[in-house]
Amino acid sequence: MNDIWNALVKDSAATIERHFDAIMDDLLTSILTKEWRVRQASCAALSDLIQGRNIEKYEKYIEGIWDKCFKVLDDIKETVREAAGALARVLTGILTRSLEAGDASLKTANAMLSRVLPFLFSSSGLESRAEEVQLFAVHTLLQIVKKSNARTLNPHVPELVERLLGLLSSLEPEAVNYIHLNASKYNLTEQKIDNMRLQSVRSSPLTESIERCLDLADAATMKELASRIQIAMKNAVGLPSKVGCSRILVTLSTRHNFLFKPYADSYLGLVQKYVHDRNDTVSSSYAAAAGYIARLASDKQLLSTIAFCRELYFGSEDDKSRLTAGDIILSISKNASDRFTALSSELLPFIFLAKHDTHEVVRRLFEDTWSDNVAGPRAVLLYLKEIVELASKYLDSQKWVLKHTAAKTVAEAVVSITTGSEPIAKSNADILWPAIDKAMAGKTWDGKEVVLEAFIRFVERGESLWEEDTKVAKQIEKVVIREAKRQNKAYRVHALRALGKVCHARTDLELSGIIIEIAQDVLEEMLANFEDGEKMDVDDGEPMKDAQL
Amino acid sequence: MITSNIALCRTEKTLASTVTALLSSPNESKLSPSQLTECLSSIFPLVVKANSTHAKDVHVTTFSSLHTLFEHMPSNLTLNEDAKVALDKLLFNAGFEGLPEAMRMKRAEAIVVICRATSCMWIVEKVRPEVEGAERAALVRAVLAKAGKE
Repeated sequence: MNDIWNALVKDSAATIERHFDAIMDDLLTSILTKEWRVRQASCAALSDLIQGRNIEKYEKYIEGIWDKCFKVLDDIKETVREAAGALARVLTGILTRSLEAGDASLKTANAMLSRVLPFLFSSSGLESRAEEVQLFAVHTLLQIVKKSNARTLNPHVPELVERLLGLLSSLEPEAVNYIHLNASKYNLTEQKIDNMRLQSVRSSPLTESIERCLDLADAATMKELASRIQIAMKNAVGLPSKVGCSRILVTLSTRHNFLFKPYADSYLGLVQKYVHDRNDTVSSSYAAAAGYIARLASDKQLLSTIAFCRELYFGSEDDKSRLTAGDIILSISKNASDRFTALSSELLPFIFLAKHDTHEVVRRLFEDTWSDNVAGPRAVLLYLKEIVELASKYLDSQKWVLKHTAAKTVAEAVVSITTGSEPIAKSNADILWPAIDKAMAGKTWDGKEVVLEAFIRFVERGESLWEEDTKVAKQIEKVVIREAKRQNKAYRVHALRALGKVCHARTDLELSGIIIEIAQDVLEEMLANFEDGEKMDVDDGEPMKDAQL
Repeated sequence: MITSNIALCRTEKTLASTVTALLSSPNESKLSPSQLTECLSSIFPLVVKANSTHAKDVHVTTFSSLHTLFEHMPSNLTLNEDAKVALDKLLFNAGFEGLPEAMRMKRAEAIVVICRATSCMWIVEKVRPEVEGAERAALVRAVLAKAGKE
């Protein structure tokens, strides 16, 4: 064919130049004909035709070329696919070269991008059902992002970021989802797999491209980008996309804080919705992002986030919500420490309470936050009123978790302010008494001995109150005797010891009569048990009743 | 088996706590001398009962609590026969020889404080053989030797 062409055409370049449009039209038609040889030859001819030619010559055909090229990339015949691949590489090469050229070919690059990008995003590119086509579209996109300069790429950054975020999930191998669902069969945990997925997102070239897009964004782009990220967050279905969304919020808050600041409030509000994700890794990622965004958010929004965390902690039934609240607060403490310090009076009483949670992981989160921000136990004195007020609210809670947490909080408040040897000041004793009295009320529960110990500490150091207030003095006597009479075997050990300590502390009391009565009953029961090992195995104390309730 | 051991341990601890409560309860400033005598004669037999288990925890608590109790008691304290018999059982038991030295030291310290009460001087005589060599630890013997001399 080459020989025929050479024989017929004297000046090849001039002839092609003269009949360029006709050749192009014919090639774009014949590239999709029935005969594979024609399709393959059309691909090669198109490559040949556009290489080394000025973009302005074929600008109007560029969309068509890409479209047809992507169609034949999925051809049934392998040799056609190879030829189409070669054409695609030529097209990408032309595009990236014009992008690299900078300001000189800005117009050309813009023209190419504005035609190519919609095409790459369409069902012929990224959304194609053919894997090869999809991968080629991704590869091209990544090349575009890598080679473009800010002025060329900026108009396309919002859509690019949205699409790239979506791609994080759609390009994840399907096997990962399968393994995630059947983790136990492979001797793995879902958390381990999620960690690996997280690692893969971090090191993904897509993430790198997203970050480059963010680096190139300016104030005008950011406005559009902000809404596109929200759409991406809303539409994200897989873990990689969700984690990717949270990650770019972190990047925007740290590296682009000036541009992102106007949008921080709305994102901090939005994160409240996404921390409820079923997947713990996603939930934690958004919680961590909240801490970073908090750096830029207004006081009003930050207070609203704190209120949200409190609601999440106190209002929900499950452990996961309390865990999320802990994650958010810890992240604010670590990543927005200045803001945390400014609002510490709002945060610390809540953290002090939550660090007595019954769930170990929740407790650890709040303990870490507390120890990061507070110097020593005496700091409790600063927030004593707020802590006691907050705990008192939940001492009557219908939820055992909150009730017990509140009781332990009051107990530690007492212990913390009595670490030295000095007595409790009257004003502090006035604050503590109603709460510690309320915390002691009700049935015994696993861990109530901590509250009892604190109650005794209060009696030992709170002379300033019970010496003046006879009602308090009488109530202490009533409480300590009531507790000593409780039937819970594990708790009784502590209650009887406490009774002895109160006798030492309260020199105004003479309780020998009542203690003898109590001791007679206990000794009778204990000595009978001591002789009969069988009975000692039975423990039907009050926690059983609590559990039944 | 494990459950049984836990229960046994808990029983011992409950008995020890009961001993603490009992021996902490008399308030010498609120009771007349006769009431105090009466009170102690009711308390000591109960403590003896608790000690009948021969649990080390209970013995140690008894020694410490007696020490604390007699620190507050007036030197002219009167003990009736019941109280004396009970106190004798609490402080003198052949089994105490097998206790670790630290526990025997606690007992010795309690004895020294108890012997401050004039009505408890009989204990000084009873403890003499130990001072003279029956007690194998020199340190404990030295403490016991102080009984009745403080």
